Amino acid sequence: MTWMVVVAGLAVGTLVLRFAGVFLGSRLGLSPQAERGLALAATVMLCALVVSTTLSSAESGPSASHVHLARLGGVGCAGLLAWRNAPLWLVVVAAAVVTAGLRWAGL
Amino acid sequence: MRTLYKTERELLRQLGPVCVAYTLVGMSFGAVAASAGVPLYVPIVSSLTVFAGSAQFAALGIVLGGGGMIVATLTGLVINARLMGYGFAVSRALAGPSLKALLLTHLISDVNTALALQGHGRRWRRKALCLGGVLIFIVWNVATVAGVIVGRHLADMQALGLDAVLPAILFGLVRPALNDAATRRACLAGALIVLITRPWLPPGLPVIVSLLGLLAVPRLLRDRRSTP
Repeated sequence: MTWMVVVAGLAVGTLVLRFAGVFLGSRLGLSPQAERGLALAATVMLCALVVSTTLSSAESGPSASHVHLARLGGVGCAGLLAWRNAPLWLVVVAAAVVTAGLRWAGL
Repeated sequence: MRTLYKTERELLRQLGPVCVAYTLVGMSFGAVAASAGVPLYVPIVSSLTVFAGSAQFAALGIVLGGGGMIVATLTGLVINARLMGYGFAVSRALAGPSLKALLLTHLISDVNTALALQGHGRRWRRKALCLGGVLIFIVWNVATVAGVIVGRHLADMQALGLDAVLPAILFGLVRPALNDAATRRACLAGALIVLITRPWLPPGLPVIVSLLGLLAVPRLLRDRRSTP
């Protein structure tokens, strides 16, 4: 029962959120400038998501606030590579390998 | 012919590693749910109908931790509130009342939004949303089912460093947009806001509040030099 409510609530709510954004945008008839501003806003949120998923501990729920140092190191290395325009596969491999290595070393 | 498929090839080049990463993360979602004794339809149906990994993981963790269904649902929805902003930003590329546009709306995600925002033209954006959305949707759902089947036999996601892969890949996809100085400034301000507010706000909200980083670009609406 609990699960059904959560899945249904999330599914319907998420569909409404996605649809609301698209609907709003297509109704307002955005100027090219407004569209650029919105693209900037979405990019800011994507970057914010990068930071928050790097620092969060999703496995242990909202109360957990300690930072995984190994993950921070892995994402840091990967971020540096991406910043220097390294290919995406290298970015991915570096993130996993560095994080796993740091963890194996006991961090 | 060669130039005709240039957009698709460029998109696929980036989507290759993304698909590998999402396969592993999707499998771990299915495996975590299955080995925790959750009814098997839960991970599968939620991957199909919610299709937003971070909210799915968060809701699962909260219910398993005894946090209650209302908290789990609301937390998931707050985490997904950013999708409304994504939809708003790419709405022109999705325009049209067709069934296809409606289906594409369901496929809006971090990955295909980041891909779409790498370019400015409507054609690029639509193709990025389509190709990225459909591929990630297939990969995510097949991987969830595979994870449910493999269950507890799956190696630990943390030991393999997979938890670092998603933020890394998202940053890689956003990177081209950061060639623009104003975008860089707003994103840096937004990232700082997340660092400051993260300990005080429930999950998901810092990402929304990060929009205040836009204030770091006072002349937001003035013409900026665009990057290809």
